[in-house]
Amino acid sequence: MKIIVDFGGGLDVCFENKKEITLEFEEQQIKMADVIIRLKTICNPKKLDFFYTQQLRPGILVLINDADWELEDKEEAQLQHNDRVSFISTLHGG
Amino acid sequence: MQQKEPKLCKKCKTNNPNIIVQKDPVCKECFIGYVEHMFKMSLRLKCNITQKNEKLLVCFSGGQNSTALVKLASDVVHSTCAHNKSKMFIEVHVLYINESFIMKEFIQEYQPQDYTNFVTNECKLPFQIVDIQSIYPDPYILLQQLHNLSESGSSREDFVRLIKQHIIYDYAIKNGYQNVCFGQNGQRLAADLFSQLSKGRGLSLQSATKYNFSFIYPLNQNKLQILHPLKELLNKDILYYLRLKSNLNFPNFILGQHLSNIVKNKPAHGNIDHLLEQFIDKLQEGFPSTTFTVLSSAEKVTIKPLQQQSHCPLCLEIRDQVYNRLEVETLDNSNQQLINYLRANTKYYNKICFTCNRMLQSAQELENFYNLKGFPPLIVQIADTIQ
Repeated sequence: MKIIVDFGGGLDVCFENKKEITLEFEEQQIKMADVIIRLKTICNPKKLDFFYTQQLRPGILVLINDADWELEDKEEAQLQHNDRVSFISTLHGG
Repeated sequence: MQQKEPKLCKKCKTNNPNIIVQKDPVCKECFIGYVEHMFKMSLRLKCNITQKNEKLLVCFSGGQNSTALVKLASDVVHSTCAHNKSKMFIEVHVLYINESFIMKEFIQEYQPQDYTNFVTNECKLPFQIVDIQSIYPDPYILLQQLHNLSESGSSREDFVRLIKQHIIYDYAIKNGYQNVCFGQNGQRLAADLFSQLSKGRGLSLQSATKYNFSFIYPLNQNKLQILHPLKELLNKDILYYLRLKSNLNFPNFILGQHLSNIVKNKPAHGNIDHLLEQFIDKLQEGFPSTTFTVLSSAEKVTIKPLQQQSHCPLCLEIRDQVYNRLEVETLDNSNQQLINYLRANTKYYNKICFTCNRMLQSAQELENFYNLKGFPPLIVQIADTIQ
Protein backbone atom coordinates (compact mmCIF):
# COMPACT_ATOMS: atom_id res chain seq x y z
CA MET A 1 0.00 0.00 0.00
CA LYS A 2 1.32 3.47 -0.90
CA ILE A 3 0.66 6.59 1.19
CA ILE A 4 1.66 10.02 -0.07
CA VAL A 5 2.88 12.36 2.64
CA ASP A 6 3.38 16.08 2.13
CA PHE A 7 4.87 18.64 4.49
CA GLY A 8 3.99 22.31 4.82
CA GLY A 9 4.92 25.26 7.00
CA GLY A 10 8.60 24.41 7.03
CA LEU A 11 8.32 20.78 8.18
CA ASP A 12 10.18 19.60 5.06
CA VAL A 13 13.44 20.56 6.80
CA CYS A 14 12.88 17.55 9.07
CA PHE A 15 12.87 15.25 6.03
CA GLU A 16 15.87 16.32 3.98
CA ASN A 17 13.96 19.32 2.56
CA LYS A 18 11.52 17.07 0.72
CA LYS A 19 8.06 18.60 0.49
CA GLU A 20 6.50 15.26 -0.52
CA ILE A 21 7.44 11.62 0.04
CA THR A 22 5.78 8.28 -0.68
CA LEU A 23 5.68 5.61 1.99
CA GLU A 24 5.19 1.97 1.06
CA PHE A 25 3.69 -0.57 3.43
CA GLU A 26 3.42 -4.31 3.00
CA GLU A 27 0.37 -4.53 5.27
CA GLN A 28 -3.07 -4.16 3.72
CA GLN A 29 -4.50 -2.27 6.67
CA ILE A 30 -2.65 0.82 7.80
CA LYS A 31 -3.54 3.35 10.44
CA MET A 32 -2.24 6.89 10.91
CA ALA A 33 -0.24 5.62 13.89
CA ASP A 34 1.74 3.37 11.51
CA VAL A 35 2.53 6.34 9.26
CA ILE A 36 3.78 8.35 12.23
CA ILE A 37 5.94 5.46 13.43
CA ARG A 38 7.46 5.18 9.95
CA LEU A 39 8.09 8.94 9.80
CA LYS A 40 9.86 8.77 13.15
CA THR A 41 12.41 6.43 11.64
CA ILE A 42 13.26 8.81 8.78
CA CYS A 43 12.91 12.15 10.56
CA ASN A 44 16.14 14.09 11.12
CA PRO A 45 16.74 13.68 14.89
CA LYS A 46 18.42 17.10 15.09
CA LYS A 47 15.29 18.88 13.87
CA LEU A 48 12.82 19.17 16.72
CA ASP A 49 9.92 20.72 14.81
CA PHE A 50 8.08 17.49 14.05
CA PHE A 51 8.28 15.34 17.14
CA TYR A 52 8.07 16.39 20.78
CA THR A 53 9.46 13.56 22.91
CA GLN A 54 7.87 10.56 21.19
CA GLN A 55 4.71 12.25 19.90
CA LEU A 56 3.74 14.59 17.15
CA ARG A 57 4.46 18.16 18.21
CA PRO A 58 1.28 20.01 19.33
CA GLY A 59 0.16 22.61 16.86
CA ILE A 60 0.81 20.56 13.72
CA LEU A 61 -2.29 20.35 11.54
CA VAL A 62 -2.76 16.85 10.15
CA LEU A 63 -4.99 16.28 7.12
CA ILE A 64 -6.05 13.04 5.49
CA ASN A 65 -7.09 13.77 1.89
CA ASP A 66 -7.50 17.43 2.90
CA ALA A 67 -9.74 16.63 5.85
CA ASP A 68 -8.90 17.14 9.53
CA TRP A 69 -7.70 13.88 11.05
CA GLU A 70 -9.76 14.67 14.18
CA LEU A 71 -12.80 13.71 12.12
CA GLU A 72 -11.39 10.20 11.76
CA ASP A 73 -10.17 9.47 15.31
CA LYS A 74 -6.65 10.80 14.70
CA GLU A 75 -4.04 8.04 15.11
CA GLU A 76 -6.71 5.34 14.76
CA ALA A 77 -7.82 6.59 11.32
CA GLN A 78 -7.72 3.82 8.70
CA LEU A 79 -5.93 4.70 5.48
CA GLN A 80 -6.50 3.48 1.92
CA HIS A 81 -4.05 2.98 -0.93
CA ASN A 82 -2.87 6.32 -2.41
CA ASP A 83 -4.33 8.38 0.42
CA ARG A 84 -2.63 11.73 0.92
CA VAL A 85 -1.55 12.69 4.43
CA SER A 86 -0.49 16.30 5.03
CA PHE A 87 1.41 17.74 7.97
CA ILE A 88 1.38 21.53 8.24
CA SER A 89 3.04 23.49 10.97
CA THR A 90 2.93 27.05 12.20
CA LEU A 91 6.28 28.73 12.15
CA HIS A 92 7.26 30.94 15.01
CA GLY A 93 6.60 34.51 14.02
CA GLY A 94 4.75 35.53 10.88
CA MET B 1 -25.38 -4.08 13.99
CA GLN B 2 -26.13 -0.37 14.35
CA GLN B 3 -24.42 1.57 11.57
CA LYS B 4 -22.60 4.73 12.40
CA GLU B 5 -24.46 7.73 10.95
CA PRO B 6 -22.31 9.63 8.49
CA LYS B 7 -21.35 13.02 9.89
CA LEU B 8 -22.53 16.09 8.04
CA CYS B 9 -21.34 19.68 8.16
CA LYS B 10 -22.84 21.34 11.23
CA LYS B 11 -23.59 24.55 9.30
CA CYS B 12 -25.04 23.52 5.93
CA LYS B 13 -26.07 19.98 6.99
CA THR B 14 -25.49 18.91 3.40
CA ASN B 15 -21.81 18.35 2.69
CA ASN B 16 -19.34 16.04 4.32
CA PRO B 17 -17.24 17.83 6.94
CA ASN B 18 -13.56 18.55 6.32
CA ILE B 19 -12.41 20.34 9.45
CA ILE B 20 -13.39 20.79 13.06
CA VAL B 21 -13.93 24.40 14.06
CA GLN B 22 -14.59 25.04 17.75
CA LYS B 23 -15.73 21.44 18.22
CA ASP B 24 -18.10 21.56 15.22
CA PRO B 25 -17.40 19.61 12.03
CA VAL B 26 -17.75 21.88 8.98
CA CYS B 27 -17.23 21.46 5.25
CA LYS B 28 -14.65 23.40 3.22
CA GLU B 29 -17.18 25.87 1.85
CA CYS B 30 -18.70 26.67 5.24
CA PHE B 31 -15.22 26.95 6.73
CA ILE B 32 -14.16 29.57 4.21
CA GLY B 33 -17.42 31.41 4.86
CA TYR B 34 -16.75 31.25 8.61
CA VAL B 35 -13.25 32.71 8.31
CA GLU B 36 -14.38 35.49 5.98
CA HIS B 37 -17.31 36.32 8.24
CA MET B 38 -15.11 36.44 11.37
CA PHE B 39 -12.67 38.74 9.61
CA LYS B 40 -15.33 41.17 8.38
CA MET B 41 -17.09 41.12 11.73
CA SER B 42 -13.82 41.83 13.54
CA LEU B 43 -12.98 44.71 11.23
CA ARG B 44 -16.41 46.31 11.42
CA LEU B 45 -17.55 45.69 14.98
CA LYS B 46 -14.39 45.14 17.00
CA CYS B 47 -11.86 47.25 15.13
CA ASN B 48 -14.42 49.97 14.30
CA ILE B 49 -13.53 50.17 10.62
CA THR B 50 -16.83 51.59 9.48
CA GLN B 51 -16.11 54.78 7.56
CA LYS B 52 -15.95 54.82 3.79
CA ASN B 53 -12.43 55.14 2.34
CA GLU B 54 -10.85 54.44 5.71
CA LYS B 55 -7.14 53.71 5.26
CA LEU B 56 -5.58 50.50 6.61
CA LEU B 57 -1.90 49.72 6.71
CA VAL B 58 -1.49 45.93 6.72
CA CYS B 59 1.84 44.72 8.07
CA PHE B 60 3.06 41.69 6.14
CA SER B 61 6.01 39.51 7.12
CA GLY B 62 5.67 36.61 4.68
CA GLY B 63 4.51 34.31 7.48
CA GLN B 64 1.24 32.42 7.62
CA ASN B 65 -0.79 34.84 9.71
CA SER B 66 0.06 37.96 7.74
CA THR B 67 -0.42 36.08 4.47
CA ALA B 68 -3.94 35.18 5.57
CA LEU B 69 -4.50 38.80 6.60
CA VAL B 70 -3.44 40.13 3.20
CA LYS B 71 -5.58 37.55 1.39
CA LEU B 72 -8.65 38.36 3.47
CA ALA B 73 -8.09 42.10 3.15
CA SER B 74 -7.83 41.70 -0.62
CA ASP B 75 -11.08 39.72 -0.74
CA VAL B 76 -13.05 42.32 1.20
CA VAL B 77 -11.64 45.20 -0.85
CA HIS B 78 -12.22 43.55 -4.22
CA SER B 79 -15.42 41.76 -3.22
CA THR B 80 -13.95 38.37 -4.05
CA CYS B 81 -15.02 36.56 -0.88
CA ALA B 82 -16.33 33.07 -1.60
CA HIS B 83 -19.52 33.83 0.34
CA ASN B 84 -21.09 37.17 1.27
CA LYS B 85 -19.79 39.38 -1.52
CA SER B 86 -20.48 42.64 0.29
CA LYS B 87 -17.62 44.99 -0.33
CA MET B 88 -15.85 47.09 2.27
CA PHE B 89 -14.95 50.48 0.87
CA ILE B 90 -11.62 50.74 2.58
CA GLU B 91 -8.17 51.54 1.27
CA VAL B 92 -5.65 48.82 2.07
CA HIS B 93 -1.92 49.21 1.66
CA VAL B 94 0.56 46.42 2.43
CA LEU B 95 3.88 47.13 4.12
CA TYR B 96 6.68 44.58 4.17
CA ILE B 97 9.92 45.07 6.06
CA ASN B 98 12.69 43.27 4.25
CA GLU B 99 14.99 41.54 6.76
CA SER B 100 17.35 40.03 4.15
CA PHE B 101 20.21 42.16 5.38
CA ILE B 102 20.04 40.44 8.78
CA MET B 103 19.03 37.01 7.44
CA LYS B 104 22.14 36.81 5.26
CA GLU B 105 24.31 37.50 8.30
CA PHE B 106 22.74 34.89 10.58
CA ILE B 107 21.44 32.17 8.26
CA GLN B 108 24.05 30.50 6.07
CA GLU B 109 21.61 28.84 3.70
CA TYR B 110 19.33 31.88 3.41
CA GLN B 111 17.62 32.55 0.09
CA PRO B 112 15.59 35.77 -0.35
CA GLN B 113 11.92 35.51 -1.20
CA ASP B 114 9.91 37.82 -3.38
CA TYR B 115 6.31 38.51 -2.40
CA THR B 116 5.59 41.06 -5.09
CA ASN B 117 3.71 38.55 -7.24
CA PHE B 118 1.50 37.48 -4.36
CA VAL B 119 0.63 40.95 -3.07
CA THR B 120 0.56 42.93 -6.28
CA ASN B 121 -0.67 40.45 -8.87
CA GLU B 122 -2.66 37.91 -6.91
CA CYS B 123 -4.08 40.18 -4.19
CA LYS B 124 -3.96 43.37 -6.28
CA LEU B 125 -3.00 45.59 -3.36
CA PRO B 126 -0.46 48.43 -3.23
CA PHE B 127 2.77 47.05 -1.86
CA GLN B 128 5.63 48.88 -0.16
CA ILE B 129 8.92 47.24 0.78
CA VAL B 130 11.20 48.90 3.31
CA ASP B 131 14.65 47.50 4.05
CA ILE B 132 15.13 47.14 7.79
CA GLN B 133 18.60 48.64 7.67
CA SER B 134 17.42 51.72 5.76
CA ILE B 135 16.66 53.72 8.92
CA TYR B 136 20.23 53.36 10.14
CA PRO B 137 22.80 55.99 9.03
CA ASP B 138 25.33 53.13 8.90
CA PRO B 139 23.49 49.83 8.29
CA TYR B 140 26.36 47.72 9.64
CA ILE B 141 25.76 49.20 13.08
CA LEU B 142 22.54 47.15 13.15
CA LEU B 143 24.49 43.92 12.61
CA GLN B 144 27.02 44.96 15.21
CA GLN B 145 24.24 45.64 17.71
CA LEU B 146 22.70 42.23 17.09
CA HIS B 147 26.04 40.51 17.55
CA ASN B 148 26.58 42.48 20.76
CA LEU B 149 23.26 41.34 22.21
CA SER B 150 23.11 38.04 24.06
CA GLU B 151 22.64 35.09 21.71
CA SER B 152 20.50 33.24 24.24
CA GLY B 153 16.94 34.22 25.05
CA SER B 154 14.91 36.52 22.90
CA SER B 155 17.12 39.63 23.07
CA ARG B 156 18.07 39.73 19.40
CA GLU B 157 14.57 38.98 18.23
CA ASP B 158 13.11 41.62 20.57
CA PHE B 159 15.57 44.17 19.26
CA VAL B 160 14.64 43.45 15.64
CA ARG B 161 10.98 43.65 16.58
CA LEU B 162 11.33 47.09 18.11
CA ILE B 163 13.27 48.40 15.12
CA LYS B 164 10.50 47.11 12.84
CA GLN B 165 7.91 48.72 15.08
CA HIS B 166 9.59 52.10 14.69
CA ILE B 167 9.66 51.69 10.91
CA ILE B 168 5.98 50.71 10.82
CA TYR B 169 4.74 53.56 13.00
CA ASP B 170 6.88 56.12 11.25
CA TYR B 171 5.67 54.94 7.83
CA ALA B 172 2.04 54.92 8.97
CA ILE B 173 2.19 58.48 10.27
CA LYS B 174 4.12 59.92 7.33
CA ASN B 175 1.67 58.36 4.86
CA GLY B 176 -1.54 59.16 6.70
CA TYR B 177 -2.48 55.65 7.87
CA GLN B 178 -4.22 55.93 11.21
CA ASN B 179 -5.06 52.19 11.31
CA VAL B 180 -2.24 49.66 11.49
CA CYS B 181 -3.22 45.97 11.16
CA PHE B 182 -1.15 43.12 12.48
CA GLY B 183 -1.79 39.51 11.56
CA GLN B 184 -1.45 37.71 14.91
CA ASN B 185 -4.30 35.27 15.42
CA GLY B 186 -5.87 34.62 18.81
CA GLN B 187 -3.53 31.76 19.67
CA ARG B 188 -0.48 33.89 18.94
CA LEU B 189 -1.91 36.77 20.94
CA ALA B 190 -2.49 34.47 23.91
CA ALA B 191 1.14 33.34 23.75
CA ASP B 192 2.31 36.96 23.32
CA LEU B 193 0.34 37.91 26.39
CA PHE B 194 2.22 35.45 28.59
CA SER B 195 5.47 36.33 26.93
CA GLN B 196 5.00 40.07 27.56
CA LEU B 197 4.09 39.43 31.18
CA SER B 198 7.18 37.24 31.61
CA LYS B 199 9.38 40.02 30.30
CA GLY B 200 7.87 42.62 32.60
CA ARG B 201 5.46 44.31 30.21
CA GLY B 202 2.36 44.13 32.34
CA LEU B 203 1.39 47.62 31.25
CA SER B 204 1.41 46.47 27.61
CA LEU B 205 -1.34 43.89 28.16
CA GLN B 206 -3.91 45.94 26.35
CA SER B 207 -1.80 46.81 23.33
CA ALA B 208 -0.71 43.18 23.10
CA THR B 209 -4.14 41.62 22.98
CA LYS B 210 -6.94 44.05 22.13
CA TYR B 211 -8.79 44.07 18.82
CA ASN B 212 -8.36 47.80 18.68
CA PHE B 213 -5.86 49.73 20.75
CA SER B 214 -5.22 53.47 20.61
CA PHE B 215 -1.59 54.43 20.65
CA ILE B 216 -0.20 57.96 20.87
CA TYR B 217 3.08 58.29 19.00
CA PRO B 218 5.43 60.08 21.45
CA LEU B 219 7.26 62.12 18.82
CA ASN B 220 4.38 64.19 17.46
CA GLN B 221 1.39 62.96 19.55
CA ASN B 222 -0.27 61.48 16.44
CA LYS B 223 -2.86 58.83 17.24
CA LEU B 224 -2.59 55.34 15.76
CA GLN B 225 -5.08 52.50 16.05
CA ILE B 226 -3.34 49.14 16.43
CA LEU B 227 -5.67 46.43 15.12
CA HIS B 228 -5.71 42.64 15.48
CA PRO B 229 -8.60 41.59 13.21
CA LEU B 230 -7.62 37.88 13.23
CA LYS B 231 -8.01 37.63 17.00
CA GLU B 232 -11.03 35.31 16.73
CA LEU B 233 -9.07 32.73 14.75
CA LEU B 234 -6.70 29.99 15.85
CA ASN B 235 -3.50 28.63 14.28
CA LYS B 236 -5.46 25.72 12.84
CA ASP B 237 -7.99 28.03 11.20
CA ILE B 238 -5.24 30.04 9.53
CA LEU B 239 -3.37 26.96 8.32
CA TYR B 240 -6.45 25.34 6.83
CA TYR B 241 -7.65 28.61 5.29
CA LEU B 242 -4.33 29.06 3.53
CA ARG B 243 -4.31 25.44 2.47
CA LEU B 244 -7.61 26.00 0.67
CA LYS B 245 -6.95 29.49 -0.69
CA SER B 246 -3.32 29.99 -1.44
CA ASN B 247 -0.59 28.14 -3.28
CA LEU B 248 2.09 30.25 -1.74
CA ASN B 249 5.11 28.46 -0.38
CA PHE B 250 5.83 29.67 3.10
CA PRO B 251 9.29 30.87 3.92
CA ASN B 252 11.72 28.42 5.49
CA PHE B 253 13.59 31.31 6.99
CA ILE B 254 11.81 33.16 9.72
CA LEU B 255 14.30 35.42 11.43
CA GLY B 256 12.98 34.83 14.94
CA GLN B 257 13.28 31.08 14.45
CA HIS B 258 16.94 31.33 13.52
CA LEU B 259 18.26 34.08 15.75
CA SER B 260 18.10 31.83 18.80
CA ASN B 261 18.78 28.50 17.08
CA ILE B 262 22.41 28.80 18.12
CA VAL B 263 21.47 27.87 21.69
CA LYS B 264 21.24 24.09 21.78
CA ASN B 265 20.94 22.93 25.35
CA LYS B 266 17.81 24.74 26.55
CA PRO B 267 14.10 24.15 25.93
CA ALA B 268 12.90 26.14 22.91
CA HIS B 269 16.50 27.34 22.44
CA GLY B 270 16.12 29.41 25.59
CA ASN B 271 13.67 31.72 23.88
CA ILE B 272 10.70 32.63 26.10
CA ASP B 273 8.51 33.51 23.09
CA HIS B 274 9.01 30.09 21.47
CA LEU B 275 8.54 28.37 24.81
CA LEU B 276 5.24 30.07 25.55
CA GLU B 277 3.96 29.45 22.02
CA GLN B 278 4.66 25.76 22.51
CA PHE B 279 2.96 25.93 25.92
CA ILE B 280 -0.20 27.50 24.52
CA ASP B 281 -0.19 25.15 21.51
CA LYS B 282 -0.01 22.12 23.79
CA LEU B 283 -2.79 23.43 26.05
CA GLN B 284 -4.95 24.36 23.08
CA GLU B 285 -4.65 20.88 21.64
CA GLY B 286 -5.93 19.28 24.87
CA PHE B 287 -8.39 22.05 25.84
CA PRO B 288 -9.99 23.83 22.87
CA SER B 289 -11.18 26.77 24.98
CA THR B 290 -7.68 27.71 26.13
CA THR B 291 -7.01 30.60 23.78
CA PHE B 292 -10.35 32.32 24.26
CA THR B 293 -10.24 31.84 28.01
CA VAL B 294 -6.79 33.46 28.18
CA LEU B 295 -7.84 36.39 25.98
CA SER B 296 -11.14 37.00 27.71
CA SER B 297 -9.37 36.93 31.09
CA ALA B 298 -6.86 39.46 29.80
CA GLU B 299 -9.72 41.81 28.91
CA LYS B 300 -10.83 41.78 32.53
CA VAL B 301 -7.45 42.88 33.84
CA THR B 302 -7.50 46.55 34.76
CA ILE B 303 -4.37 48.61 34.88
CA LYS B 304 -3.88 51.20 37.56
CA PRO B 305 -3.52 54.56 35.83
CA LEU B 306 -0.14 56.15 36.34
CA GLN B 307 0.10 59.76 37.45
CA GLN B 308 2.69 60.44 34.82
CA GLN B 309 3.06 58.34 31.70
CA SER B 310 6.55 58.33 30.26
CA HIS B 311 7.52 56.17 27.32
CA CYS B 312 10.61 54.13 26.61
CA PRO B 313 12.25 55.42 23.40
CA LEU B 314 13.20 51.90 22.30
CA CYS B 315 9.96 49.97 22.61
CA LEU B 316 7.59 52.97 22.86
CA GLU B 317 5.76 51.28 25.70
CA ILE B 318 4.95 52.96 28.99
CA ARG B 319 7.89 53.11 31.35
CA ASP B 320 6.66 51.66 34.58
CA GLN B 321 7.32 53.24 37.92
CA VAL B 322 9.35 51.50 40.53
CA TYR B 323 7.40 50.67 43.69
CA ASN B 324 9.69 48.41 45.64
CA ARG B 325 13.29 47.28 45.92
CA LEU B 326 12.62 44.09 43.94
CA GLU B 327 11.88 46.17 40.87
CA VAL B 328 14.72 48.60 41.29
CA GLU B 329 17.27 47.19 38.95
CA THR B 330 17.20 44.61 36.24
CA LEU B 331 20.86 44.09 35.65
CA ASP B 332 22.42 41.55 37.94
CA ASN B 333 22.50 43.25 41.34
CA SER B 334 26.05 42.07 41.90
CA ASN B 335 26.92 44.45 39.10
CA GLN B 336 25.91 47.53 41.05
CA GLN B 337 29.10 49.28 40.01
CA LEU B 338 28.19 48.89 36.35
CA ILE B 339 24.65 50.12 36.96
CA ASN B 340 25.92 53.22 38.79
CA TYR B 341 28.42 53.87 36.03
CA LEU B 342 25.79 53.61 33.29
CA ARG B 343 23.41 55.84 35.19
CA ALA B 344 26.06 58.50 35.67
CA ASN B 345 27.79 58.29 32.31
CA THR B 346 25.19 57.55 29.66
CA LYS B 347 22.63 59.89 28.27
CA TYR B 348 19.57 57.65 28.14
CA TYR B 349 19.91 55.02 30.89
CA ASN B 350 17.10 56.56 32.95
CA LYS B 351 14.75 56.63 29.99
CA ILE B 352 14.97 52.92 29.15
CA CYS B 353 12.20 50.70 30.54
CA PHE B 354 12.51 47.57 32.66
CA THR B 355 11.98 45.17 29.74
CA CYS B 356 14.40 46.88 27.40
CA ASN B 357 16.97 46.85 30.21
CA ARG B 358 16.40 43.09 30.41
CA MET B 359 16.90 42.84 26.66
CA LEU B 360 20.22 44.65 26.96
CA GLN B 361 21.36 42.56 29.89
CA SER B 362 24.54 40.62 29.07
CA ALA B 363 25.09 42.72 25.95
CA GLN B 364 28.56 43.88 25.02
CA GLU B 365 29.41 47.58 24.59
CA LEU B 366 26.50 48.53 26.85
CA GLU B 367 27.54 52.18 26.86
CA ASN B 368 26.83 52.43 23.14
CA PHE B 369 23.33 51.10 23.66
CA TYR B 370 22.55 53.47 26.51
CA ASN B 371 23.95 56.41 24.59
CA LEU B 372 21.97 55.31 21.51
CA LYS B 373 25.22 55.52 19.58
CA GLY B 374 24.69 54.72 15.92
CA PHE B 375 20.94 54.25 16.43
CA PRO B 376 18.50 55.52 13.81
CA PRO B 377 18.01 59.31 14.11
CA LEU B 378 14.28 58.66 14.56
CA ILE B 379 14.85 56.76 17.81
CA VAL B 380 17.35 59.35 19.09
CA GLN B 381 14.84 62.08 18.31
CA ILE B 382 12.14 60.26 20.28
CA ALA B 383 14.53 59.75 23.18
CA ASP B 384 15.37 63.45 23.23
CA THR B 385 11.69 64.39 23.12
CA ILE B 386 10.61 62.07 25.95
CA GLN B 387 10.89 63.39 29.50
